Amino acid sequence: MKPSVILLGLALTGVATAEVKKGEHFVELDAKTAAGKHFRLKDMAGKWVLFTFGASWCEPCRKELPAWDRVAPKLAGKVLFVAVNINNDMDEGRQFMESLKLRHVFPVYLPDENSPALKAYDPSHLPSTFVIDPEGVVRVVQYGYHAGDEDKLAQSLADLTKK
Amino acid sequence: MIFLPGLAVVFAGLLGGGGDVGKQVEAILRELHVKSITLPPAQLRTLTHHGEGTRELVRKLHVDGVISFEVVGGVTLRLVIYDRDGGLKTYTDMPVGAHGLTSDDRDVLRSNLEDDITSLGPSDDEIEIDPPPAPPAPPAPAPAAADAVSADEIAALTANEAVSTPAAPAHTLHLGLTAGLGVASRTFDPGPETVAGYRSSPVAAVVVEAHVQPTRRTSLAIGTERTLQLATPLRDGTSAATTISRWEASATYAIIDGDFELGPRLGVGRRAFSIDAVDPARSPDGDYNYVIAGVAGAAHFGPHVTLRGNVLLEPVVFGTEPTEMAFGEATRWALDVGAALELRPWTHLFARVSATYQRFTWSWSMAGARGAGGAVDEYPAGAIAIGADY
Repeated sequence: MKPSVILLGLALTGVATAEVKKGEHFVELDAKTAAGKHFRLKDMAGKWVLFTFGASWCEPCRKELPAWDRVAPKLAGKVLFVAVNINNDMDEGRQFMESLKLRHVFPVYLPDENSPALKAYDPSHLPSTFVIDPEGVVRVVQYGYHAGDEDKLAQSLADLTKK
Repeated sequence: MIFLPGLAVVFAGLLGGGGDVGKQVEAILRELHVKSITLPPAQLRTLTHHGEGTRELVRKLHVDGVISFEVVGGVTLRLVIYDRDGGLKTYTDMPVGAHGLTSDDRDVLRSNLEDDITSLGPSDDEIEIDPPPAPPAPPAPAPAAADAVSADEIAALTANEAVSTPAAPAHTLHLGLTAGLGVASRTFDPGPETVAGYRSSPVAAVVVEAHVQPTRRTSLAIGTERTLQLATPLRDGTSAATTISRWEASATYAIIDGDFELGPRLGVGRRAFSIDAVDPARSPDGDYNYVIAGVAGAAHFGPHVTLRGNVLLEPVVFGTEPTEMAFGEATRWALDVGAALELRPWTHLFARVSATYQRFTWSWSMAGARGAGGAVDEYPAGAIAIGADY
């Protein structure tokens, strides 16, 4: 997805609104791993999953993903961290992800801008981050990234996963 | 009212109205035990206008039926109901007054809604009256298909090592090699008048660098630079082949903060200058063997552009000192600054444009007595190189 497409979408809709909201069940993502395997949220059943949409042209994503990578070890065994790259060109997305040298965030790719899942999550705001609980319910929705967000959300996740 | 166990019909909202009619509609829906959800106005409008995308929207709600209302023009209440597949079940308009629905209208609406909700359930022969309430099944961590990645795989891959290329064995060792051409020059201002200085124009040089990155934050590098065609004119009118060379080995630790890296660099290096001639009047040969201590940093501007820089202090620990006989041993050290712009059009290939400036300063403890105020030896250089790393 190109920035122009996002901007056009914002212009047409006024305020971007995701269809997937906190408290609702997740909408399936049919993304692919770098190795070409399917990544589906249903296969993560029973786990807490944080997934965040990003793209190479999204500057905050470049800061956000390493930030998740830093806090992920604190939640190892409790939360799976997944980066959903939405670059139209998967190779470009892969280059971007590799350049970040992430260790604890698993990259997957969703290069289809017409994907119903992408529309459902409506990542007009990038990065946009969602957390689903082991039951598949969306527990956190967060748009954008500011330095320090990762620590706040990591604390929230630590609290949530204790319950 | 027929009890339809498990029937999930939701009220998606009332568009364009509130006040009395809103309260009336909500009261009726509460009586009918219809759960309310909140949809953004744009989506609610999609429902009440039964437009493109309605079916997809309804299906995503995963319910047995969706009820939506819109007050049109302040005088009409539109009721639109969809079944679980997004099929249109009801699309009716009824008048509303200044105070909303009349009592009769509310009764009609309640009755119609009741019938519509009932019709959204399974057919009669599928209705189970009073079944035991089934608790929600816990999510079964079903094994992922062979062509799908599982939660356990992700957990394992993200436990320790880099995961950007899961198809490859997890490792953090990166290797890189860069080679290129550039220019180098030297300006030597020795201070003492008895020592000949040296000034060269920039000449072609070759640069080669290799590095290994055993961890994300640590890199070890070796590099060399050597002039290709430098000649020094002599008193007898001939010229002598001259070489300016340098090699370094260093280790850098990077503290990474988003797009920025900054960290200490330590290493050793050697800078040498030699003229292949015995003319005693020429500028003397010399070399510096030094320790490297300083900081290096990088800023990434997207996946394709990286700006690098370093500021290093390089105290000379030993080396040929052509003025030692006359002035005694000098204290020598260098300031070395460098900058490079890397353009990476592909993942493993990049081009680098770099510039360095190394300035050695000499000082003697008896400089005043001998009239030697010190010496300066400068080595500016620039290069364009192509590199590959993995």
